[in-house]
Amino acid sequence: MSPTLQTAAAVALLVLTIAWFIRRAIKRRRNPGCGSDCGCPTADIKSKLTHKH
Amino acid sequence: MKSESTAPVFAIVGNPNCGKSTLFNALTGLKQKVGNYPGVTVEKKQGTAYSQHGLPLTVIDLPGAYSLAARSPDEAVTRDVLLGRRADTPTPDRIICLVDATNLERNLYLVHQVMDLGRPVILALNMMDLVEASGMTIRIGRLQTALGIPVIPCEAVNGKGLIELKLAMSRTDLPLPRHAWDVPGAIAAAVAELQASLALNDGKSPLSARAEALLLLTDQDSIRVAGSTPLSARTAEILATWKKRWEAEGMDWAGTLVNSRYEAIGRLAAEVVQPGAASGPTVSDRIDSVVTHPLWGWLILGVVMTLIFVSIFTLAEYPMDWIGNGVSALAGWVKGALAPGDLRDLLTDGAIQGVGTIVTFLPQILILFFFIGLLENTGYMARAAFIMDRMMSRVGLNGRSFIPLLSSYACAIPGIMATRTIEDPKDRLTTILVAPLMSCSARLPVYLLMIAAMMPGNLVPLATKVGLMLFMYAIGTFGAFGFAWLFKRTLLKGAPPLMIMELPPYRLPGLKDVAMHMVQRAGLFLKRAGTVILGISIILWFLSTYPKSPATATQTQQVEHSFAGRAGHAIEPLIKPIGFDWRIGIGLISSFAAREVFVSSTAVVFSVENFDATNDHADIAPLRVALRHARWPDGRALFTPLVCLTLMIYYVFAMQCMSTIAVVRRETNSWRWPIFQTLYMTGAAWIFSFIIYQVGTAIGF
Repeated sequence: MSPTLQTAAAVALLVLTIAWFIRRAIKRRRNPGCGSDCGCPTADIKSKLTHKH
Repeated sequence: MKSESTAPVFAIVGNPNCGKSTLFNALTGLKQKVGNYPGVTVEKKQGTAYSQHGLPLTVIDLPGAYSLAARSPDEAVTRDVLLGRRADTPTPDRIICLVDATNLERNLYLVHQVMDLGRPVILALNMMDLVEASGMTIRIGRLQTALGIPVIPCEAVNGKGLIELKLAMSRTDLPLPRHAWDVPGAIAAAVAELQASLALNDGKSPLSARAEALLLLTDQDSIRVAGSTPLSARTAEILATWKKRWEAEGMDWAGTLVNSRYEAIGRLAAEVVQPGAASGPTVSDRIDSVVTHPLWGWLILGVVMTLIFVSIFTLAEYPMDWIGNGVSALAGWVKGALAPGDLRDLLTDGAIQGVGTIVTFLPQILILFFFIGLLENTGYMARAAFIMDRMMSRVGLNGRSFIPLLSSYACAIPGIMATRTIEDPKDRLTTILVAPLMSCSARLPVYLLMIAAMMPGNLVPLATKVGLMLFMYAIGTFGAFGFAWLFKRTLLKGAPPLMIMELPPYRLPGLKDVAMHMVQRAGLFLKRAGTVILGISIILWFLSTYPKSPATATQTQQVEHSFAGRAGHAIEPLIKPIGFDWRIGIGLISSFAAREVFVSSTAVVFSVENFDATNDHADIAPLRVALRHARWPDGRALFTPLVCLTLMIYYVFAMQCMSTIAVVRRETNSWRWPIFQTLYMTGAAWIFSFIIYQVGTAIGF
C-alpha cells in the first residue's frame, strides 16, 4: 500500500472514530450517565428510577 | 398503573440482605450480582418466571426495606410500587414476602404492613438451614393458620423450597391475609376517615386505602420520589387536621401505632418460634468476636488487604508477560505486513500500543475482582463495613455510606448511584462528593505503571511495591474521610447519623457467583479497551503525529511539534511546579476522559515502539523502560521516583473522569456540585502534589 493511500486510510479511520464519539455523546445527552460502561444498572432501570431530591 | 398483560405481577419484598436477589435469580433465571452486605439491591429488577403450567409470571424484585414507612428514596420506591403510586411500574397483583427465618420477629414487621395492603401474600421463610443449625424451630403450620396465607420454608441459595414456592405462585385461589391486629382506639377514627377519603378522592380500593391511611400516619409521607402520585387535596387536609389535633393533645400517634403493631408481632413470634436448646454463640458469632474486635478486626482487615495486593503482583506476573508479548508480536506482525506509512503507524503506535498496554493489566484487575467477589460472598465485606463504620461515624459520615464508598473502589459511578440508600440528603451529598476519592480500578493501571517505573524488576522487594500500593489506597480512603469531615463541619453541617447494620452469617463462597462477577468485569474492561480507549488512542496518535515535522526531525521533535505537544506545552507552566513536563501534560489532558487512558496515551506519546529495549532489563515491558529513559531538555531524568510518587498522588485526588461528573450532575440534579467536586479534587491533587514534589526535591530526592 502506497504512503498516500495509507494516509487516506488513516484519515478515514480517524473520521470514523470522531463520528463514533459524537454519536456516543449525543446518545448520552438523551440518556445521561455512564453509558453502561461501568457495571452500574442498565439504562432502562436507570431511566425508570431517576428521582429528584 | 395496573398491569396490562395477563401475566400476574408478583413483587418480592423483604428486609435488606434476606436473599431477595438470590430468590429473584432462582425464579427468573436473570443474572445479577449477589452480595452479602446489607442493601445490595438498590434498584428495581423485573423478570419472568413460569408457573407449574408454563404460564408467564412477572416478578419484580423491590429494594430492601425494613418498613413501608419509608426513610430513604429506595424504601420510598418499594412503598410506592406496592401502593400502586408509580405510573412507571405495574401494581403487583400478589406479593412474595421473603424473610430471614433466623430473625423472624424483626422481619415480620414489614410482613405485617404488607398484609394490610389487601392483596394475596405468600410468606417465604428463607435460610431455614441456618434455623435448623441453630437448633431453633418455627411452627410453620401455626404461622400459616395465624396469618391465613401460604408459608413456604426455603433455602434460596440452594434452590430448596422453590418448587413449593412456584406451586404457591401458580395458585389462582391465593387467600387474602387474615388481619390479626386491631388499630388502637385513639387512632381508629382517623384511619377510618383517611381510608374513606383515599377510596373516594384518590381512587384506592378499600383495603389498599386502609393500608395507605396507616402509612400516612406513621411515615407522614415524608419521602416522596419522582413518579410518585401526590395525595388528593382532601386527603392531605384530613391528615393535616388530625395531626394538628393530636399535636395539641400532645399525643404520639405514630409511636402508638408502631408499638401496637410490634406487640401483635411479639405475641405471634412467641407462639410460633421455639428458640434452640443451645442458646450459646453460633459459629458466626464466634468468628465475629475476633473479626470485628476493635484491635484484631483492624489487623485482620490489614492482612486481608495485603494478601490481595500481594496476589495482584505475584499471580498476575506471567499472564501479564504473555499478554505483553502477544501485543508486541501483533505490532511486529503488522509492521512486517504493511509498508511504512500513516496507516501502519496508526495501527501499531496508536491502536495496538494504546489498547495493548491497557489490556496487559487485565490479569491484575481480574484478581482484584476475584477477591472482592469472594469477600462479598463469604460475608466478610459486611464485617469490614462494621469495622469501618466506627471510623466513619467519627468523621460524621453515615455508616450507610460504606457501601457506596466500597463500590467506588471498583468504579465511582455505581458507588454514587448506591448513595440512594442514604436517607439524609446532606449525608448523601457528602458521600457523593468524596466517593471518587476511593481508588477505582481505572487508577490501578496508572499506579502499577508508576510503581514499575520507579521500582524496576527484581531490584526492589515485593513488600515495598505492595506497601506502596496499599499506601495509595489508604491515602484515597483517608482523603475521602478527611474531606467528608471537612464538608460535614462546613458546607453540609448536620446531626451525627445513626446506623443499624445487620451482619449476615458467614457462608462458604459460591464460586459460580464470584466467577460471574469476574467475567462481567473482564467483559466491561475489554469492552472499554476496545471502544473508548481504542478511539482515544487513534485520536491521540493523530494529535501526536500532525502537523508533521520535516523528515529530519527526531521522534521527540515530532511529538513536540504536533497538536498534542502544543497542548502539553500550553499547560506545562501549571504542571512544571509539580514535576511534570509537557508530555505528562498530554497524558493528563487525555486521561480526563478516563484515568486509565493515561497509560495508553503515555505509550503513544513516548513512542514505545521505537524504543530499543534490548539494552535494558529483558524482563521489563518497553513502556516502563521508555519512561525510565525519558529526559528533560537539560538531561535530567523525567520519571524519577519522586515524580512517579507525585503522579500517583495526583491521580489519587484529581477528578479525571467525565463519566463520574455526568453521573454526579444527574444524581444532584445540578451542575453546581459536579463543578465544585472537580475544582476541589483537582485543586487538592495539585496542592498535595506540589507539597510532595517541592519537599522531596528540597531534601534531595
